[in-house]
Amino acid sequence: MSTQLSFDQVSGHGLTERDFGPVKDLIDEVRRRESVVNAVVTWQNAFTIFRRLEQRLGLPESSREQTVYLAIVSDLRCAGYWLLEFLATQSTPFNSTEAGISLAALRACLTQLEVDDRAVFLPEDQGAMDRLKAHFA
Amino acid sequence: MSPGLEALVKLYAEMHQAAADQQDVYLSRLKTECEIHAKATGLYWKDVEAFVKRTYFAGLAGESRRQGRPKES
Repeated sequence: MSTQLSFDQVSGHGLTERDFGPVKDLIDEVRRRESVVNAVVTWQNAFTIFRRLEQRLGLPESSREQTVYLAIVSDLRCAGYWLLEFLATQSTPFNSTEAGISLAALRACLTQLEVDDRAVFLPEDQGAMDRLKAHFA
Repeated sequence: MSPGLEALVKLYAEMHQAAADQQDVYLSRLKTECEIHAKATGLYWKDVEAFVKRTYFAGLAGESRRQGRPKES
């Protein structure tokens, strides 16, 4: 459900479209920021759901499972980096309290998604696996 | 499992179950620890963390098997 009021909804209070002229830019800015916050919250939810599913199902084993897992990781990472870049280049600094996550935490989530890739491919790197096993033996 | 790896797995478990907005706090601690082992092995810290992650999930899978819960498909 949209929380935005249309002109028709507010015009019943004796206001005309001309009255909104001076604050039109402000209204547009508020709507734009609302969209950004929604995008960040949606991304956070997707990341949290991915982690919960991973906890429940474990790491992918078969080739098919790996394909699906890596596709989800890639999508999350791609959208996350796009958001990070967008937020970092905003003229108005991103207010993390609005979206419930700081840029540092968002960046850390993205770093973790890079480790997720490595965790899937690590067994194929026999040299690294052997070194790590020997080190932690 | 060596005590060093056990400590890393414990830290990883905490981070994995923490909320998204807490990831930077946990990652900073885990990265510092992984870098120590990365230096010793000549690997990148993310490879060490990937190994820790695999160990964590292997432990979870083992626990499920012990409790008689098959992996969900």
